[in-house]
Amino acid sequence: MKLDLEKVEPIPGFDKDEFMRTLIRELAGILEDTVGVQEASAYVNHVGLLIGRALNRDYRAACATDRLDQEQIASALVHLKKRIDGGFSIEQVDDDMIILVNSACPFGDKVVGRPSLCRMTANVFGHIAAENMGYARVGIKEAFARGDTRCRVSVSFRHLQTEPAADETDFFGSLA
Amino acid sequence: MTHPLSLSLPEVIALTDEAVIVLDVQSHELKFASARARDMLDAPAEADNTIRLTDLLDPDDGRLLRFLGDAATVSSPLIARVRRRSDGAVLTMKGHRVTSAEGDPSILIALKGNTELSRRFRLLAEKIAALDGEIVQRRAAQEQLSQNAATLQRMLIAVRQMSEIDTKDAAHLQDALDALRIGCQRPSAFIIGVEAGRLIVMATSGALAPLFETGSQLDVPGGLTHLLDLSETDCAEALRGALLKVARNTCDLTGLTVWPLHILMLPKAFLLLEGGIESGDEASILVETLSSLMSRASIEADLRHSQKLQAIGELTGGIAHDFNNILAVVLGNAELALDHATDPDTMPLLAELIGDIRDAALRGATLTSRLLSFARKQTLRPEILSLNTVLRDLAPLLRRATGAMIDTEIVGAGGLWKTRLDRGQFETALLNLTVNARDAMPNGGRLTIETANTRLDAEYAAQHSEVRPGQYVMVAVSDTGTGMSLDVIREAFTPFFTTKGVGQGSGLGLSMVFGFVKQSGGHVKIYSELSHGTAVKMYFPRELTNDNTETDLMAPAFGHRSSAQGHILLVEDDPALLRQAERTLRVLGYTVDTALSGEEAVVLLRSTRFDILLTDVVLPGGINGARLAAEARSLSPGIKVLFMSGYTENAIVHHGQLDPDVELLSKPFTRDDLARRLRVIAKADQR
Repeated sequence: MKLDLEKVEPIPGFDKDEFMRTLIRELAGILEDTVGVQEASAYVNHVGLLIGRALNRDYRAACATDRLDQEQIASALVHLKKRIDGGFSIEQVDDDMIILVNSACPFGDKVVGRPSLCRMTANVFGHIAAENMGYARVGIKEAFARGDTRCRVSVSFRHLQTEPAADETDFFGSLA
Repeated sequence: MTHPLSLSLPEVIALTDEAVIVLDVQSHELKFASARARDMLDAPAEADNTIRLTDLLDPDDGRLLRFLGDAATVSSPLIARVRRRSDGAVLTMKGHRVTSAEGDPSILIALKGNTELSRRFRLLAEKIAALDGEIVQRRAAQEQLSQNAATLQRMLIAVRQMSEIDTKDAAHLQDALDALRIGCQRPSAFIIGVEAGRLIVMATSGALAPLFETGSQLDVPGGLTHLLDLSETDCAEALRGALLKVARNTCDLTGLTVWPLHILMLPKAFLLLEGGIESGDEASILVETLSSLMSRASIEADLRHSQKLQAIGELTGGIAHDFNNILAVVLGNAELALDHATDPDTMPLLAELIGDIRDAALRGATLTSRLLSFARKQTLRPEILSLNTVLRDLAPLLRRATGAMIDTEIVGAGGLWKTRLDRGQFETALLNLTVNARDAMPNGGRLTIETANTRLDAEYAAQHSEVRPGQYVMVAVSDTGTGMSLDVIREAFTPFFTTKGVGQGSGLGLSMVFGFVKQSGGHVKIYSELSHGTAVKMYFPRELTNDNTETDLMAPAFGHRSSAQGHILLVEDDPALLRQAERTLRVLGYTVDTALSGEEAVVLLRSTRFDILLTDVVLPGGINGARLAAEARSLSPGIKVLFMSGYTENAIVHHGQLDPDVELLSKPFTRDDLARRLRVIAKADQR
């Protein structure tokens, strides 16, 4: 008897989005297993930085400005994550810092056990913030990838002279 | 557990031996480079710190600068693959921004050699690429191989066709050019060469051929010599221009390429091929073959010409010799006659001298007649004759010619068919053969002249191109003389060839016989064995007009195939004849074993039972046909024996080689003859 797969519940296989997330998770997994988490993170850093550069260009154009302010940055980051099913919300915005919390990772449950993918968020946020504010320190305090129940990302604009902590990265505006 | 430590970078590096460098964010100058880093970068000695990283690494289309710019903006490491400028070796570079205690930014970079994994990936990728390349190469090679095989096959066909061409054929050059053109797949081809001092189109082939007439003279100033002095391009241009002038219509000859043809090592002609020179190798091989063919044609033409000259020389020499003798007699006797012409007392002598002159003149006339006979241009006066009658009338003359030492027997077959020929010429031919037989038996011997009805079948005709199958009257002249070797037999009919001493033979006797028999539509054959004798058989076509003789006697008694049964032992010393007879017997249905000598036959007779022994009379070694037959009857009582011989039965018996009551089959025999005789002796009691 011929089986109509469209009528089977739940629908088997992946849709486009699931397919891409799964693909990235598996690639990250293989990269971590092959070169180690640190090296893999360095690769993802680089990718995140390049994506952050492109997004910064987009949001500046959308806001019709050549430099985003803190509010615009916070809005841009939330908007970005919402567009990619990130589910971020702003916990705090002031002159020194933006804190965003997330109830759902853009990579969904695919991120669990793949901490290198968190570098994507850190670099996108950090690059956009630093390019507009001159400096940003991004810290990922909680992460699904590390087994936490949510993500909590802080973006600090105050240039501290202290060394960044293990879960923090400093970003600087480009020299050009 | 972490505690703040203040360690200098060199201290850490000294412990770990890592490849680490610190760069100025603006200038990318090396602020610090560990020994291992310098080593990996092929950097100059440590003292030189002004060197920039961008001097040591490949810019990689701006990617290096972009990476360094990005690394300067982030405290987490970025990673990239870079290439060493000195040798292109791949390095992995991980870097990020660091800030000194004084607040100065730098880029901290860690270098790694090609990691094992990426090295393996790269090796794998290189192998895959190499395999892809090899597959492409192999496919190309296979395709080339197929093309080469096809080309080779075409060329082999062309070369074989060209090698089989008969250079005597006037169209041989045309045939060769056609084969060559098809062999190298060209649309058109020409052969240009010199004939009678003129540069002409010797042959044309292909699409352009109808536009040119073979033999057309080409107008090239200086001719072949001038063309050979020109470069290939100029030569082609000169020939193109000359060809266009003689073309029947306008045509495009721009694609012609020229190949010189070397005939007997010298360039004497040109081959022109339409089409490019991309397949020059194959064309050059075929050009060589064409040159060889033309050389062969030249050599064979020269040989034919020289053979013709030799024959004319021999003929002239022979005639001159004989005529000189005749003229000497005529002249000498005429002078003597003149001396005595006025003296009435010398009339008897005069008459004798004039008689000699007449005889000499007659000899001259005979010589002329023989020459004409050989040339088959003798005027014949054929009439319908029974050769038995002619023989009977001629018998006294023949007996006189042979002399007393030779026992002559003349046997006319009963019911002999009539034939149509010139009686006088036949008598001369028979006399010639008789005289030859006599001369072959200086110490006496036996001569047998006999006639018979016979039939030469299609099989025999196939082996003798000049024979037409049909019914013939045979006249055989057999002797027990010295015989002839194969070399002598081969030359026996050649004019002026003689084994006799000077003055004893003209060398025209057998050539006259040959010419006469041929002119009469007949066939002549010599059988001879050294020290045993010779048999010359003349076959004349049966004349059916007014011939009432029963013809059914010689009608084929058997079809081509028969269901005859029996085991035959065939003994014959001539391997070719043995094979032919064996094949014939098998066709007739017999089981056959063969032997080349009497000794071999005896061995077979001891181990096998045979129904019939079919044996040649004359065999090499100690056991001849007669002895073999006796041995066979002793070993296998009841065996039937049939002898074969090139001599006729009468001659064999008359010469004392066999008993009169034996069965003998005279060669050449037809399949029907053989079948009939075997069937007859199979049914009869062995005598």
